[in-house]
Amino acid sequence: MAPERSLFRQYFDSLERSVGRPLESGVETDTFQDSLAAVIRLQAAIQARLERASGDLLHMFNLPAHSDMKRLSEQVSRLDKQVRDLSLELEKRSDGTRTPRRRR
Amino acid sequence: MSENRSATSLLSSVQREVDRSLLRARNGIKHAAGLDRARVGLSPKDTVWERDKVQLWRYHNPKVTKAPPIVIVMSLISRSYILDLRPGNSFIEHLLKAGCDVFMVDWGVPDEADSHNTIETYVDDYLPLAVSAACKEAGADRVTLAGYCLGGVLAVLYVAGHPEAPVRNLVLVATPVDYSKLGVIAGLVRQGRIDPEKVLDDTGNVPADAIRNVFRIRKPTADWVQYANLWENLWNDQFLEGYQAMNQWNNDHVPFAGAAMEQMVSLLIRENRLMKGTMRLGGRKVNLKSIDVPVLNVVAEKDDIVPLASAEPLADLVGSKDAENLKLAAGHVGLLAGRKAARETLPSIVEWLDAHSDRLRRARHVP
Repeated sequence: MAPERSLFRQYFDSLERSVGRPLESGVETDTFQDSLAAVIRLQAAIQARLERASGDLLHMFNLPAHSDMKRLSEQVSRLDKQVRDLSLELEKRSDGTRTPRRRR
Repeated sequence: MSENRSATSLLSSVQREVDRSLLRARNGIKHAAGLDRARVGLSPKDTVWERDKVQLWRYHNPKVTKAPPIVIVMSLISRSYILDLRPGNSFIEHLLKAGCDVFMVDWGVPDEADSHNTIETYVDDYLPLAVSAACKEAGADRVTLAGYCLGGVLAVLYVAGHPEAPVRNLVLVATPVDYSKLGVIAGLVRQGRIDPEKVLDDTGNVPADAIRNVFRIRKPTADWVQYANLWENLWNDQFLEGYQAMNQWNNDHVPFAGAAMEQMVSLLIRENRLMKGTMRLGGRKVNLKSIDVPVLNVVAEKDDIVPLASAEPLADLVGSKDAENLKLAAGHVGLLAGRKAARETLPSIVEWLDAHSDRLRRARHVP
């Protein structure tokens, strides 16, 4: 037999369903998803513009900006990826499955 | 006489409420202060292979009675402890008790260095090495490959793209294949809405917070319900422990490697290539029809992350003669965790594994 629901729970559940159900069907609609996508695009555009402006200001004083750091980090990670790919290729060719047993 | 009884019962219910309020206050302080965090992923294990951030774990089992070993492929956006939540509520523990030799492929937490990882990196580079390491470690020539959620997609692509893969059986749990039925999660990145590169952070990955927020959008009132459940049961220590573990599951995601996510959006969500049979990886065609090993596709009727309609077609897409859908009245999480999972899903998976495994003449001890 299911335990009896408290009065608080009965009120809460009916309130939650009356609000939750329309919200859940709302998020499935194209209108909601288009609007959310527009907000996210706008947010990204504003952020990009702010970064450009702050970058221009920092470059005036010959200082590195966020975009420079990002570019550098991107280059390092690409290089890292190439090293990993080469090392994976080597491991595959030698079928060398390093087995460093470590207790966790 | 009856007045006496009602007075006694009133007194005892007042007493019970006072006791519970005291316990609520104590547990509430502990919970708010972050003390007594749920301890998860406790089954003892060894790391038996690693490459970059990827690790292959082997769980200890004093009594392995089945072969081949099981290699579980974790999703790319969840922590692997969700399959080993807590003692008594753990998919891994259940498999170990059933006599399986269990391995887990844990992808780690991606950073800048992993942002260029593509689906091929996981399917063509890491998985073959991890499966080969598992075979070597267990002294087996084949494994049963099991994938959960996105891990299932990787497992399917690996088996379909590698006819030589040493895989005897394939178990897929909540694995999406029809991305046109994925609901709001896929809807947001459909053509003309959000471009995948717009959600990448400075590391080139999709931040874990963004993943969490997308999941939260689906059920805007889910947090309220959780708080109501917590308030009602805050006095119950056992509930609180379970609540913390499940809460951790819901909120603790890992970043999604940027390149893999962009590929997933373009090939799977926008072009729905798994359904159309036009999937290509590393310049070659990967058709699910080339999968001929026995397949168990576990799907959840109430799954709101990977809806039934998105996961169910998988059994028809593979070329195996022995492919079946195991449909359960559960949600995405409830498939592998909780009382219902222990009662229905896990025994059904073990039963299928029993029918598709060999019984060892003598039980083996791992490690």
